[in-house]
Amino acid sequence: MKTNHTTTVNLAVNLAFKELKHGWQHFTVFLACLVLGVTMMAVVNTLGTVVKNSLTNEAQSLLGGDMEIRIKGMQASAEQERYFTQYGEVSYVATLRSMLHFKANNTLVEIKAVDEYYPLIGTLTFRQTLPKNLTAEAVFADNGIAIDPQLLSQLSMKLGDEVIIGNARYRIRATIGREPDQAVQVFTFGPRVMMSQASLVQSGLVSTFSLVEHRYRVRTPDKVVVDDKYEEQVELELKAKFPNTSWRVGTGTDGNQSLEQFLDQLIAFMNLSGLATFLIAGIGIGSSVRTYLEKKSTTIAVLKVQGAARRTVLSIYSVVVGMLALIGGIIGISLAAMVTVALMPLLATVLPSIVGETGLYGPASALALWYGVLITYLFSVPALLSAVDIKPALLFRSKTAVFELSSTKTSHLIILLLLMLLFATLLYNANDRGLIVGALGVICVAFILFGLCTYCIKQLTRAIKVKTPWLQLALSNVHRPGATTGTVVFAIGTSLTVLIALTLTEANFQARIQDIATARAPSLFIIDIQPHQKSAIQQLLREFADPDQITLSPMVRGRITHLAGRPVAEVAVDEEIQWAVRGDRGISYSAVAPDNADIIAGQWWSADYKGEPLLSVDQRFIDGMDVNIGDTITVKILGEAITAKVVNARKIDYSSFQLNFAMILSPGDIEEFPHTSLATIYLEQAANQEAKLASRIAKEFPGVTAIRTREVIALIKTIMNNIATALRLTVGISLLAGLLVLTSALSATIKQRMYDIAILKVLGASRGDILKSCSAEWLLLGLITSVVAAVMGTLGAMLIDARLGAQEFAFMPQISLGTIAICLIVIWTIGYIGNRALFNFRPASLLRNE
Amino acid sequence: MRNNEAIISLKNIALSLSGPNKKLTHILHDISLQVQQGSATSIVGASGSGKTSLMMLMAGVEKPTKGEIIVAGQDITHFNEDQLALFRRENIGIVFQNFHLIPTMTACENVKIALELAGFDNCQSRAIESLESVGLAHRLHHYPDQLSGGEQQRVALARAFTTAPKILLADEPTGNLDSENGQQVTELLFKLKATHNTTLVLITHDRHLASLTSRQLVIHDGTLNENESHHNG
Repeated sequence: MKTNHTTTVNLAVNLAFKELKHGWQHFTVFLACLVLGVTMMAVVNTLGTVVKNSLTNEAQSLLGGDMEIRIKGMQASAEQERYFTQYGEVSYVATLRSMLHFKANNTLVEIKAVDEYYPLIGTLTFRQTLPKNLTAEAVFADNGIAIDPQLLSQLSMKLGDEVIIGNARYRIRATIGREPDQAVQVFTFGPRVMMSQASLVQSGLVSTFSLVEHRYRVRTPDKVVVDDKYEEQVELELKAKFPNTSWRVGTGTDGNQSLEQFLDQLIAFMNLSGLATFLIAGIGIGSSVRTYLEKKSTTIAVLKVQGAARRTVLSIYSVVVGMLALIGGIIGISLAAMVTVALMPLLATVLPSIVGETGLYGPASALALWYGVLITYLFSVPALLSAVDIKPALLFRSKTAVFELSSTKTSHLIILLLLMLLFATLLYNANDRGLIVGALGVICVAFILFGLCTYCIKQLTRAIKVKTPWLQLALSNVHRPGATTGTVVFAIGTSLTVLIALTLTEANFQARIQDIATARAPSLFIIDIQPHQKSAIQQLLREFADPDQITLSPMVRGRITHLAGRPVAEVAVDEEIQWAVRGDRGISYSAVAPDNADIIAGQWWSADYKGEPLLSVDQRFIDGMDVNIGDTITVKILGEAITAKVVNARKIDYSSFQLNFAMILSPGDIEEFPHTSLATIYLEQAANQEAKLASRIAKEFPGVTAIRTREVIALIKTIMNNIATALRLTVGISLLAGLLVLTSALSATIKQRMYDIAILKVLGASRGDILKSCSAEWLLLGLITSVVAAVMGTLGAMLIDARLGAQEFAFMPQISLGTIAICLIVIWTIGYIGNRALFNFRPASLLRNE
Repeated sequence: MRNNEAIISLKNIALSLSGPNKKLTHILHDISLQVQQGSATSIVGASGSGKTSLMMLMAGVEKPTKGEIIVAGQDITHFNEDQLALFRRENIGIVFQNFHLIPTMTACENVKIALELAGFDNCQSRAIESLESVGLAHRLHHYPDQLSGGEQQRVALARAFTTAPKILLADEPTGNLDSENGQQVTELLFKLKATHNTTLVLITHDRHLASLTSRQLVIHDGTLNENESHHNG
């Protein structure tokens, strides 16, 4: 007769099975919380991995080659093109925006002109061609074009129709199926139109300084390994051979760097949201385990009386919890597999290059399962250790003993160990470890703040003494031993804080965009105005608005080479202003300061100034490039260096949608450079006039592109709405977790309440008194917590807003008040449903058993 | 251990428990008691007199404030919880007024768990045997809520005796039963006690039940007195 470790484990497993068989209904909230958390983590990690794998696997295809050589605003010369061939097979692609005209309609499109070698990697497919089964060569021959299928319906066109782009007519021969090098485009100005290089030339849209991206894709020989080092070497060779051209060389991965960064951040954010949801759900898990073990107190005491040691009891219930975690985890990852399969078509519309290899993705599922087990135990430890401490004396004495959560050194140590494991897992799997540390910091602050909030609520309700019995019972229930006040506060508090912060941020952003759209942004942007069209365009614009409503600025492209006499490479330029020294930038010139110029340092030159070149710069040049008023900046324009003295700095708000240039030169030699112009115009009765003017520009100046600000702003609003919807979905899941926890917490103390209420009923309390008491308790908790959450959420939104560079913040109290009101309704409803048994039960049944 | 040797020995036991305001309530005062191996002892007393507390001390589920408790040759006064669990597993069986069967287990499983915890082999057949001995062979796979009060208490008896403990502590074993079931349980209790030569200590209000024991003790306000008129040796 002996008990060994194996016996204990066998016993634990056997008992655990029995407990699960008979007690699964106790674990509804537990499983719901766990499934929610695991599903979310598995979905986020599976989709994240699939997207990243697709990008890595298809990096070459997305780039259209092994390496890309880019020149902005300028096509490579024949000599340069010949030079590229030493690196491998070359394909030339030009992209630009222009207007497409069909009958009386016109719309902005994104043009992609390709050569006969396109695509070097992957295959261009067409959805439909006319006639059927045309090759790419046949589609693009004789000014044939292939277009985005959406464009057909948008302008009510059909295959075979003729459209005008720039100065030429084109025949629609195909709709595009798949562009092998189409990466993610979060923001596009219009649908895709593909044509040959020869056809693009026909349009007359490409000239010096036209806003055209010239890309030369290179497929290197197999033996060449294209990596960062190779890319650097090629760039250096190009710079040495053609020093007057601004080169940028990218590899497959580099070409998608910003996309990868964006996705990394998105995945990190979703992971953190998942983790936050999981932590909220963890409270529900802990609360369920506590409720379950409290109900099992007698059984545990019986086991102890029968001779079960603490270790045996701990083993039994740890196995129960572990098995539940596994069951919930497996349900969660199975659900995640279904969700990811369902989400694939949706994802494919945003990321066309994604390959559908979703489902039960091993590593992501295993990770989600691991998180599930870890978080389950993290939140169950105090209850499990309390169960171990249940005294067999319970069988002889009070049946209403309070199940106090364990707060011993052992429980603290185990929790600390589990937290370290969780932290290590997060760090191991994170790309941005700083973000994880920061997020965990925020979570810790939230725990502390809501812990403090709980403490204050308990102290407050303990201090208040009222003579109304039902109200006194309500106050007592908030601070009584075993009350779930902390769980309720945390569940509502965290979810509401995030919800209010997100809603206020989005509302502020939308309001600001609306403000810009209605008050400050010009009605039309007109780009690619050639020098010979300047006066005619000006004349046309004046037909629609007064001269003071029109801005026309010349633009050349140049690259900063020296700052205060030092080569750019030797200057430590701030990250924030790096864009200004990376490649070519638009530079304007003007005799007078622009109307919107906010000069914060120095003076503008006189209108009749003639002399050495002077320069007006964005004030961030002063702060971020170590350049002062009086220093010089050298820019290289079409191979010629111009050194200009910085005489003033302007504060520029790029989000105003007004015409702004980071660098404006004084007139002089620069006027002799070939250049294009940009114009903006403010129109009254905007909608009507805009269409009319856009139509006139399209008709009279086919190569000039007019962009309607209203449409751009609508596009931005749509994108922001989509992002906000995705965020709301994430927060919605967190809220759902919060509601589950709330449901569990509000019904956890029903047994204790029943006893109190039985006595009160015997003493003459009516059903109404009981309902009033419970309502007062829930509403008090809900009100205090949601007000704290509203304050914290508003502070959070203000911080985010400030971080996004916003000047002023609108509090929009209606959002916070509305959220608080909804919270109160929800908390009362959940409380009522969860505790409805309290209002109808007969006290005799309970008291007789006691 | 021979039948005339003391299997339970309480020496100058006192028990005080702290109340809600940390104020001590004195439950038992300087109690000394010796219970002989194989004997049957009943403890009677009014509600709140301390009889349950006295049984809890013997079972090792409560610690005395003062004094020494020696049970089955072991001084359990300073045992920790796990030592006490092991001690109970090997020496004590308990029957409660409220039966305290595990509701998620069948009658057979309720008995088997005691054997499993004590590390017995062939637990299933032993459990069945024990249930047969209390006349519940036909109720092996019934859950507690499918059994009558009398049947539940018989399962509890089977569970308590199945590991052949040296001592059986019974807290109002017939308190929740009607007279017919109470009679059946009483007969079984004494039959099993005799079969296993178990030392029986029972707490009861039932004077008839108390009269069946060889020794009766009366507890009043935490003080124990021998009821000499019923002391049959």
